[in-house]
Amino acid sequence: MNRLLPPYLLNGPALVLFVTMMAVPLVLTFMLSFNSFDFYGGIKAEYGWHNYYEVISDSYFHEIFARTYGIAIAVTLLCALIGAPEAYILYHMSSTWRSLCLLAILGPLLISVIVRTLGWALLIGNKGVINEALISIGLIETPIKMMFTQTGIVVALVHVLVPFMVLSVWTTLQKLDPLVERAALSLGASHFTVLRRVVLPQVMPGVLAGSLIVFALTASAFATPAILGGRRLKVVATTAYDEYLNTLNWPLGAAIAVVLLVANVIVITAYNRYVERKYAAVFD
Amino acid sequence: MSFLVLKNISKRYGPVAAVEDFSLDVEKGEFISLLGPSGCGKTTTLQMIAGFEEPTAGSISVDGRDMTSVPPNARDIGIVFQSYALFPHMTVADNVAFGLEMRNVPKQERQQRVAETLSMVGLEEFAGRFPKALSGGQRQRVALARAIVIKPQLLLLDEPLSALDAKIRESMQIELRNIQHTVGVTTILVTHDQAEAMAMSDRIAVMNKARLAQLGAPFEIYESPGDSFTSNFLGSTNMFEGKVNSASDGNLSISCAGVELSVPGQAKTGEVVTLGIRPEKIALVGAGEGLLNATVHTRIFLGTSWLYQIDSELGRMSVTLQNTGRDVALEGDTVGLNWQREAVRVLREEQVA
Repeated sequence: MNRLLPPYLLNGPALVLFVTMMAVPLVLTFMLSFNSFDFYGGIKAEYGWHNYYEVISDSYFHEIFARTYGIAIAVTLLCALIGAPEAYILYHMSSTWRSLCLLAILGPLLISVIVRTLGWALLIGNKGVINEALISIGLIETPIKMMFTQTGIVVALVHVLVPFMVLSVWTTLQKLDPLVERAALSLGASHFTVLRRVVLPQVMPGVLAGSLIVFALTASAFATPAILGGRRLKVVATTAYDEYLNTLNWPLGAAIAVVLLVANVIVITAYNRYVERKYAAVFD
Repeated sequence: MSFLVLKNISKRYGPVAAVEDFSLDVEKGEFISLLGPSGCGKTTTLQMIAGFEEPTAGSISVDGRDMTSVPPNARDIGIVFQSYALFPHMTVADNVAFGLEMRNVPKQERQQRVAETLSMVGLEEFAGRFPKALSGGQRQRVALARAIVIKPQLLLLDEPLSALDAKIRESMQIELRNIQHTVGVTTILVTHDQAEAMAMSDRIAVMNKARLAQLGAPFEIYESPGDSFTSNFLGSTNMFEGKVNSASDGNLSISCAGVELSVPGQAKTGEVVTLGIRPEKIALVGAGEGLLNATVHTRIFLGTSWLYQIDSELGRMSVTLQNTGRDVALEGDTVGLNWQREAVRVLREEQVA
């Protein structure tokens, strides 16, 4: 028997799965994005770049793309600001407390995104817990608008995605020599300087890797923006969904999806290459 | 008053004492080793001097100033860690410059001092490299340079050579000693390696079970160990028990397993004492010519010397003989054992904390 056959056979099931579940739909979507669409006639077998032209030239779509990436950047920055210190505090905890806190941080991942987002809707709605409470203690007269706002989406997405940042930073902290902090202290550095000059630069690869995950997941997020943003505050993913299911303009929806995919791939690979180049000389 | 004074310091974790009532006076410029097996409290002592641990009792002062609860970043102490703890994201030069930067030394002087220190440890060509690209020995030198460039009041070395292989370790011992002499910094070395402690230090503080077992110059401790622990930890010792038959004027007559020995020392008549003799102080002579007869059990050739295991009336004994180029007694031979009267030491029993 050919020596190479067994590995191929073993990989077969996974290959079939990926081809049917991922490659085929992707190719079909890509092909669909070149079709024409007529409100009365539906999808027509005429091909061209007009869907892409529409996405690229219409300021309506510009706004949606800008909003999507704006949210993605905000969520990534917030996750880094919250997640990195969180991981560092975990790192310095005693082992019993650490496992308890890790559980609390990772626990939300066990709950469906939809359920968690609906929970946020209950909290931040005009008749939600937060507004009702603030009104009842007399701090505000009319409810603060948080539902259907960009801020609401950002807050909920940070909650959903911060565990990924914590895990990523946590992994790099494991590789940190615990004595470097003491070494820096003995050389006269303050605790803050130790953090800024010694710990942070060393966990930066973890922060950057975590940022990549959070950014990619936010830019393509659907459920949270759909529930908390409603039908009017759209991001790219919800726009593609609406083109498919409301307008029934499948080719345009496909074109939007393809543009989002390509944009994400470009951002992520460029970023990854930058990170790898920057740290190749320093870390193994 | 001495430069570094540790006064009755103790460190307890709950009921467990890591260090118990430890006192030590170190003179300026002195090189002292804390020597002991793992868990004897030597590293805890070092960490208290560095300020990473606060003593439960007692006080630490440097140059007359009480340091007991001064935080580590205000103590002006250079430390070389066992793992070196270099900053992996900084170049060699930046690693060395870090302490100067923290002291706000102006840039020009900083660069000059970094260059001087790097050339002292022989790494001037490696200034731009990252620690990842260095060998173990080179990293060790960077760690040393980083600790001494700040001209600290005290230099603490925490098992600095234990991660290096034997050959480099030996040459680093000599180099470290030379650098310490040049810089003149008061140095405390923590080690479990008795050869390292003896090779490098002015004085050795032997620690056992959280306490100071003995303090003295290497030769002094080796030649007159106070108790059975020190005697066995520094080099090796043949030990046997005997009963004092008569004591007069610093001379003891002791019978050990039927052999009558004359030994210098102080003890009471009728007392049971432990005697020790170093393997290299025993000479092999012809059968019947020595103090007692014995049979060679095994012999091992070590290059510079022979190591014999010999069965005598006093039990199994180790003997080392210089390799003088001649072949000596074979396994199974009957030989005589001989030694100078003064070579035998009366040892106190190991103190139990």
